[in-house]
Amino acid sequence: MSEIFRDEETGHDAKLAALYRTVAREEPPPALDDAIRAAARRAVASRPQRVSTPFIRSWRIPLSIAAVMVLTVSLVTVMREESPEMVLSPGGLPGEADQTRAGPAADTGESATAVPKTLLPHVERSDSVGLRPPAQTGSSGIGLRDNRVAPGPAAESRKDMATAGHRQTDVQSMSAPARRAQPEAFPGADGARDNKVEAPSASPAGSSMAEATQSRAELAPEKWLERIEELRRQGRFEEARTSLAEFRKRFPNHELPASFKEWAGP
Amino acid sequence: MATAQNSSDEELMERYRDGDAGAFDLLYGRHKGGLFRYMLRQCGSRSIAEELFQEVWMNLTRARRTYTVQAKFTTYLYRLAHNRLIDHYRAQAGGVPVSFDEDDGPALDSIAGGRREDPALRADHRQQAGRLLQLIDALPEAQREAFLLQQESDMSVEEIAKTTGVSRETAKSRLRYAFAKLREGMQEFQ
Repeated sequence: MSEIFRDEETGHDAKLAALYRTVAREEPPPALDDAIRAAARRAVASRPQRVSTPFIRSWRIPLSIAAVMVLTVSLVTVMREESPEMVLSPGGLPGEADQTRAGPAADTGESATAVPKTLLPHVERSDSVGLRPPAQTGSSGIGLRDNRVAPGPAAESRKDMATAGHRQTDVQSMSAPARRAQPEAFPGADGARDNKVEAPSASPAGSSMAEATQSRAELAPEKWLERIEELRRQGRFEEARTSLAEFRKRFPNHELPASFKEWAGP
Repeated sequence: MATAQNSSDEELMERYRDGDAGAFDLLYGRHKGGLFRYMLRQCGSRSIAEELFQEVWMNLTRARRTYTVQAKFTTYLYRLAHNRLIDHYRAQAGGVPVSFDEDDGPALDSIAGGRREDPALRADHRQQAGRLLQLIDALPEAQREAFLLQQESDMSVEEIAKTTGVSRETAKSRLRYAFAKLREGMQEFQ
């Protein structure tokens, strides 16, 4: 040890260092070498797989939208099955419309007013499924449409209309602009077709004339002519002439009674 | 390939960061022995040393994406090893050895004298080497670490200080005490 070179600052001993290197020969086992090298290669090779992460991320939004749509459709379906009075189908599925009225709560406006607001926009966009907004039905719901029907002959005509389909009441429960947008969906019911044309007269400026027109819209031709005759007997000739003009537009081929030809002209 | 073999450790690590697995093989071949012996002497158990050794290299592969050349690669590698070793100590019942908190080691005359009297170590060069290993094992952990970092990776005092997270003076002191104790233990072979 006499030839040892010593670093005064660190005390480094060259001979001790050399002696250490002769004995310090331990190495990791070859199996460990292989495992570490393989892991290092996998780490590098895994880089392209990371590209798939943005690919998955790019599908997150479409998948989310699809999931929301499925959930929404499911909810609407469940609502139609469990609370049919909330959902109306003015255009199609006639059996469904009957089911709607058959429910115990069909004639109560409460269920209509209980519709969650969050569902309104979706249902309003739908062409086949309509939701009756509370503002249009009022607090009385379907009861309001019954009030619109004039008493007397019109009440009798309602029985006829019942055989032609119940959708008319749904149409009546809607606002006038909404009714104008309705297609002719009531085949076999003349009164119902009349309703479609008469709808503009049910404007907010409604007077006794408008109510009479509303009632006539639901009349059969014979009943309508009887009402016109009644108007003449009451001295309401102007109204009788107006109503007859409408009648002729509606039933141009219907032959008028002889008593009408005297004052109605050809 | 000759170019790669002549590349510095830092260049190889940058190439590995950029996806060259072959660069890692070269780096690993250069430093696996020294790092393994560092772990082996510091934790005293071969099985634990192998486990810690593997974890250090795995940490290196995981950290490659953020690697930038800020110091010698050996400083970076042994810093990872030092931190893993400290974690290992903390997980043990005894915690981090006290010697890591000491700026100076114990008195130079505190080296156990009983080992000198082992007659088996007085024979030849191999006996001297065996004795040296015993003395190294008997060093406090911090001093032993400073010694091993210098011997296994040719670090300077500054690099040892940076790797172990201490001041230059502390690193120098640990190194000086380590050599002093080893010299004293080897006096019987003079």
